[in-house]
Amino acid sequence: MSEWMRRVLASKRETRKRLAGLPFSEKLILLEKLRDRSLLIASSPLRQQSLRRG
Amino acid sequence: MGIGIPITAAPPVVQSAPPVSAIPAAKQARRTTRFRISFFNAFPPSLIYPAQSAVMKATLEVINQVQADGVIGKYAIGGAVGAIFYLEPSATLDIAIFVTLQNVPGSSLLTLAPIYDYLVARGFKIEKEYVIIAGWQVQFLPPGNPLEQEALDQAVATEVDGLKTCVMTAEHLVAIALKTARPKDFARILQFIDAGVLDTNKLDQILSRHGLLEKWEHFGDKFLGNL
Repeated sequence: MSEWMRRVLASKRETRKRLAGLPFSEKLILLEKLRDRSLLIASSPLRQQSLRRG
Repeated sequence: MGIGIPITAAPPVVQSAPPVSAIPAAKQARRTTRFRISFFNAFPPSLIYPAQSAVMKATLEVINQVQADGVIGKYAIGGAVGAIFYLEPSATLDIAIFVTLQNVPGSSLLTLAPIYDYLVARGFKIEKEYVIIAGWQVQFLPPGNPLEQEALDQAVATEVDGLKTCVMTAEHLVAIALKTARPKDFARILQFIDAGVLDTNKLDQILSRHGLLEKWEHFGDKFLGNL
Protein backbone atom coordinates (compact mmCIF):
# COMPACT_ATOMS: atom_id res chain seq x y z
CA MET A 1 0.00 0.00 0.00
CA SER A 2 1.35 3.40 -0.97
CA GLU A 3 2.07 6.15 1.55
CA TRP A 4 -0.62 8.30 -0.06
CA MET A 5 -3.24 5.56 0.36
CA ARG A 6 -2.17 5.02 3.97
CA ARG A 7 -2.71 8.74 4.65
CA VAL A 8 -6.16 8.64 2.99
CA LEU A 9 -7.23 5.67 5.14
CA ALA A 10 -5.88 7.28 8.31
CA SER A 11 -7.77 10.46 7.49
CA LYS A 12 -10.98 8.49 6.90
CA ARG A 13 -10.58 6.69 10.25
CA GLU A 14 -10.01 10.02 11.99
CA THR A 15 -13.13 11.57 10.42
CA ARG A 16 -15.27 8.56 11.32
CA LYS A 17 -13.97 8.71 14.89
CA ARG A 18 -14.75 12.43 15.11
CA LEU A 19 -18.28 11.90 13.76
CA ALA A 20 -18.88 8.98 16.12
CA GLY A 21 -17.87 11.21 19.04
CA LEU A 22 -20.51 13.87 18.29
CA PRO A 23 -23.51 14.23 20.63
CA PHE A 24 -26.54 12.14 19.60
CA SER A 25 -28.61 15.20 18.71
CA GLU A 26 -25.89 16.45 16.33
CA LYS A 27 -25.67 13.02 14.74
CA LEU A 28 -29.42 13.11 14.16
CA ILE A 29 -29.03 16.36 12.23
CA LEU A 30 -26.47 14.65 9.99
CA LEU A 31 -28.77 11.63 9.70
CA GLU A 32 -31.58 13.87 8.43
CA LYS A 33 -29.26 15.42 5.85
CA LEU A 34 -28.12 11.98 4.70
CA ARG A 35 -31.71 10.79 4.43
CA ASP A 36 -32.82 13.85 2.45
CA ARG A 37 -29.92 13.51 0.05
CA SER A 38 -30.58 9.78 -0.38
CA LEU A 39 -34.19 10.62 -1.28
CA LEU A 40 -33.01 13.37 -3.65
CA ILE A 41 -30.63 10.99 -5.41
CA ALA A 42 -33.34 8.31 -5.56
CA SER A 43 -35.77 10.76 -7.17
CA SER A 44 -33.24 11.94 -9.78
CA PRO A 45 -34.59 11.54 -13.34
CA LEU A 46 -31.22 10.09 -14.35
CA ARG A 47 -31.56 7.34 -11.77
CA GLN A 48 -35.16 6.69 -12.79
CA GLN A 49 -34.00 6.32 -16.40
CA SER A 50 -31.28 3.85 -15.49
CA LEU A 51 -33.78 1.84 -13.40
CA ARG A 52 -36.20 1.74 -16.33
CA ARG A 53 -33.42 0.52 -18.62
CA GLY A 54 -32.65 -2.25 -16.12
CA MET B 1 -37.26 20.69 5.41
CA GLY B 2 -36.07 24.20 6.04
CA ILE B 3 -39.52 25.68 6.68
CA GLY B 4 -39.24 28.74 8.88
CA ILE B 5 -35.49 29.00 8.44
CA PRO B 6 -34.39 32.53 7.59
CA ILE B 7 -32.56 32.47 4.27
CA THR B 8 -30.26 35.42 3.84
CA ALA B 9 -28.33 34.35 0.74
CA ALA B 10 -29.37 35.65 -2.66
CA PRO B 11 -31.48 33.16 -4.61
CA PRO B 12 -29.92 31.54 -7.70
CA VAL B 13 -30.27 33.51 -10.91
CA VAL B 14 -32.78 31.78 -13.19
CA GLN B 15 -32.19 32.40 -16.87
CA SER B 16 -35.10 32.56 -19.28
CA ALA B 17 -35.66 29.19 -20.90
CA PRO B 18 -37.98 27.71 -23.55
CA PRO B 19 -41.29 26.23 -22.28
CA VAL B 20 -40.94 22.78 -20.79
CA SER B 21 -43.33 21.20 -23.30
CA ALA B 22 -40.98 22.18 -26.16
CA ILE B 23 -37.99 20.30 -24.68
CA PRO B 24 -37.36 16.57 -25.28
CA ALA B 25 -37.61 14.36 -22.16
CA ALA B 26 -33.87 13.58 -21.91
CA LYS B 27 -33.01 17.27 -22.14
CA GLN B 28 -35.60 18.06 -19.45
CA ALA B 29 -33.97 15.51 -17.17
CA ARG B 30 -30.53 17.08 -17.67
CA ARG B 31 -32.00 20.53 -17.02
CA THR B 32 -33.67 19.35 -13.77
CA THR B 33 -30.41 17.84 -12.54
CA ARG B 34 -28.50 21.05 -13.38
CA PHE B 35 -31.11 23.08 -11.48
CA ARG B 36 -30.77 20.84 -8.44
CA ILE B 37 -27.00 21.11 -8.48
CA SER B 38 -27.13 24.92 -8.83
CA PHE B 39 -29.76 25.08 -6.06
CA PHE B 40 -27.49 23.28 -3.61
CA ASN B 41 -24.53 25.44 -4.64
CA ALA B 42 -26.56 28.59 -4.03
CA PHE B 43 -28.01 27.44 -0.70
CA PRO B 44 -25.42 25.68 1.44
CA PRO B 45 -26.75 22.95 3.76
CA SER B 46 -26.38 25.22 6.78
CA LEU B 47 -29.08 27.45 5.29
CA ILE B 48 -31.31 24.67 4.02
CA TYR B 49 -31.30 22.57 7.17
CA PRO B 50 -32.17 23.68 10.69
CA ALA B 51 -29.48 24.02 13.35
CA GLN B 52 -31.31 21.50 15.52
CA SER B 53 -32.71 18.12 14.58
CA ALA B 54 -36.21 19.60 14.53
CA VAL B 55 -37.78 16.85 12.44
CA MET B 56 -36.38 13.94 14.43
CA LYS B 57 -37.24 15.78 17.64
CA ALA B 58 -40.83 16.16 16.43
CA THR B 59 -40.92 12.42 15.67
CA LEU B 60 -39.67 11.55 19.16
CA GLU B 61 -42.15 13.99 20.73
CA VAL B 62 -45.02 12.12 19.07
CA ILE B 63 -43.64 8.75 20.22
CA ASN B 64 -43.25 10.09 23.77
CA GLN B 65 -46.85 11.30 23.64
CA VAL B 66 -48.02 7.84 22.53
CA GLN B 67 -46.18 6.48 25.56
CA ALA B 68 -47.51 9.17 27.92
CA ASP B 69 -51.07 8.34 26.81
CA GLY B 70 -50.50 4.72 27.80
CA VAL B 71 -50.77 3.23 24.31
CA ILE B 72 -47.27 1.77 24.59
CA GLY B 73 -45.09 0.97 27.56
CA LYS B 74 -41.33 1.36 27.52
CA TYR B 75 -39.79 1.90 24.10
CA ALA B 76 -36.25 1.87 22.73
CA ILE B 77 -34.71 3.02 19.48
CA GLY B 78 -33.01 0.15 17.66
CA GLY B 79 -31.75 -0.52 14.14
CA ALA B 80 -29.63 1.97 12.21
CA VAL B 81 -30.81 5.01 14.19
CA GLY B 82 -29.99 3.22 17.45
CA ALA B 83 -26.56 2.35 16.06
CA ILE B 84 -25.68 5.97 15.32
CA PHE B 85 -25.92 6.68 19.03
CA TYR B 86 -22.55 4.87 19.15
CA LEU B 87 -21.25 5.15 15.57
CA GLU B 88 -20.84 7.74 12.85
CA PRO B 89 -24.14 8.55 11.11
CA SER B 90 -25.06 6.51 8.05
CA ALA B 91 -28.05 6.95 5.75
CA THR B 92 -31.30 5.25 6.68
CA LEU B 93 -34.90 5.90 5.73
CA ASP B 94 -36.73 4.49 8.73
CA ILE B 95 -36.69 4.39 12.51
CA ALA B 96 -37.14 1.07 14.31
CA ILE B 97 -38.90 1.55 17.63
CA PHE B 98 -39.12 -1.51 19.84
CA VAL B 99 -42.12 -1.18 22.12
CA THR B 100 -43.74 -2.91 25.03
CA LEU B 101 -47.36 -3.37 24.03
CA GLN B 102 -50.34 -3.27 26.31
CA ASN B 103 -52.36 -6.49 26.45
CA VAL B 104 -55.80 -6.32 24.89
CA PRO B 105 -58.34 -7.12 27.67
CA GLY B 106 -59.66 -10.65 27.31
CA SER B 107 -56.96 -11.70 24.83
CA SER B 108 -53.48 -13.14 25.12
CA LEU B 109 -52.56 -11.71 21.72
CA LEU B 110 -50.27 -8.71 21.39
CA THR B 111 -51.31 -6.41 18.62
CA LEU B 112 -50.01 -3.17 17.11
CA ALA B 113 -53.57 -2.07 16.30
CA PRO B 114 -53.91 0.30 19.31
CA ILE B 115 -50.80 2.23 18.14
CA TYR B 116 -52.05 2.50 14.56
CA ASP B 117 -55.58 3.42 15.71
CA TYR B 118 -54.21 6.11 18.03
CA LEU B 119 -51.97 7.65 15.37
CA VAL B 120 -54.46 7.40 12.47
CA ALA B 121 -57.06 9.13 14.65
CA ARG B 122 -54.58 12.00 14.99
CA GLY B 123 -54.01 12.32 11.26
CA PHE B 124 -50.85 10.28 10.80
CA LYS B 125 -50.59 8.15 7.68
CA ILE B 126 -49.77 4.46 7.43
CA GLU B 127 -47.58 3.28 4.57
CA LYS B 128 -47.01 -0.46 4.47
CA GLU B 129 -45.53 -1.38 7.85
CA TYR B 130 -44.60 2.22 8.69
CA VAL B 131 -46.34 5.15 10.29
CA ILE B 132 -45.21 8.47 8.82
CA ILE B 133 -44.38 10.79 11.69
CA ALA B 134 -42.91 14.20 10.91
CA GLY B 135 -41.67 12.87 7.59
CA TRP B 136 -39.94 9.82 9.06
CA GLN B 137 -41.03 6.24 8.42
CA VAL B 138 -41.46 4.83 11.91
CA GLN B 139 -41.77 1.10 12.41
CA PHE B 140 -43.11 -0.08 15.76
CA LEU B 141 -41.85 -3.54 16.64
CA PRO B 142 -42.89 -5.67 19.58
CA PRO B 143 -39.98 -7.76 20.88
CA GLY B 144 -40.06 -10.97 18.85
CA ASN B 145 -37.75 -13.05 21.04
CA PRO B 146 -36.07 -13.00 24.49
CA LEU B 147 -33.03 -11.16 23.08
CA GLU B 148 -35.12 -8.24 21.83
CA GLN B 149 -37.10 -8.20 25.09
CA GLU B 150 -33.85 -7.99 27.07
CA ALA B 151 -32.54 -5.26 24.74
CA LEU B 152 -35.71 -3.27 25.37
CA ASP B 153 -35.56 -3.81 29.15
CA GLN B 154 -31.91 -2.75 29.38
CA ALA B 155 -32.04 0.17 26.93
CA VAL B 156 -30.18 3.28 28.07
CA ALA B 157 -31.90 6.60 28.65
CA THR B 158 -30.62 9.63 26.76
CA GLU B 159 -31.78 13.05 25.59
CA VAL B 160 -32.21 14.72 22.20
CA ASP B 161 -32.29 18.49 22.61
CA GLY B 162 -33.79 18.07 26.09
CA LEU B 163 -36.24 15.37 25.00
CA LYS B 164 -35.99 12.07 26.87
CA THR B 165 -35.67 8.88 24.87
CA CYS B 166 -34.14 5.39 25.12
CA VAL B 167 -31.61 3.63 22.91
CA MET B 168 -30.57 -0.02 22.96
CA THR B 169 -27.09 -0.80 24.22
CA ALA B 170 -24.32 -1.30 21.65
CA GLU B 171 -23.92 -4.95 22.69
CA HIS B 172 -27.63 -5.69 22.24
CA LEU B 173 -27.65 -3.96 18.84
CA VAL B 174 -24.73 -6.18 17.77
CA ALA B 175 -26.42 -9.34 19.08
CA ILE B 176 -29.68 -8.47 17.28
CA ALA B 177 -27.76 -7.69 14.07
CA LEU B 178 -25.97 -11.05 14.36
CA LYS B 179 -29.29 -12.84 14.80
CA THR B 180 -30.94 -10.93 11.92
CA ALA B 181 -27.91 -11.72 9.72
CA ARG B 182 -28.52 -9.60 6.61
CA PRO B 183 -25.45 -8.22 4.77
CA LYS B 184 -26.14 -4.73 6.15
CA ASP B 185 -26.32 -6.19 9.68
CA PHE B 186 -22.86 -7.73 9.26
CA ALA B 187 -21.54 -4.41 7.96
CA ARG B 188 -22.94 -2.69 11.05
CA ILE B 189 -21.31 -5.23 13.38
CA LEU B 190 -17.97 -4.54 11.69
CA GLN B 191 -18.53 -0.81 12.24
CA PHE B 192 -19.14 -1.45 15.96
CA ILE B 193 -15.96 -3.52 16.21
CA ASP B 194 -13.97 -0.92 14.27
CA ALA B 195 -15.25 1.88 16.50
CA GLY B 196 -14.11 0.03 19.64
CA VAL B 197 -17.31 0.83 21.55
CA LEU B 198 -18.19 -2.72 22.59
CA ASP B 199 -17.83 -4.13 26.10
CA THR B 200 -16.57 -7.60 25.13
CA ASN B 201 -17.47 -9.22 28.47
CA LYS B 202 -21.01 -7.91 28.27
CA LEU B 203 -21.30 -8.98 24.62
CA ASP B 204 -20.02 -12.48 25.45
CA GLN B 205 -22.64 -12.82 28.19
CA ILE B 206 -25.46 -11.70 25.89
CA LEU B 207 -24.34 -14.00 23.06
CA SER B 208 -24.00 -16.91 25.46
CA ARG B 209 -27.39 -16.25 27.09
CA HIS B 210 -29.16 -16.22 23.75
CA GLY B 211 -27.32 -19.09 22.06
CA LEU B 212 -25.43 -16.94 19.57
CA LEU B 213 -21.83 -17.90 20.35
CA GLU B 214 -21.57 -20.32 17.44
CA LYS B 215 -22.94 -17.69 15.06
CA TRP B 216 -20.45 -15.18 16.45
CA GLU B 217 -17.54 -17.57 15.85
CA HIS B 218 -18.76 -18.17 12.31
CA PHE B 219 -19.00 -14.39 11.80
CA GLY B 220 -15.45 -13.98 13.13
CA ASP B 221 -14.08 -16.68 10.81
CA LYS B 222 -15.82 -15.16 7.81
CA PHE B 223 -15.23 -11.43 8.34
CA LEU B 224 -12.45 -10.95 10.86
CA GLY B 225 -9.97 -13.63 9.79
CA ASN B 226 -6.98 -13.62 12.13
CA LEU B 227 -7.95 -10.42 13.96
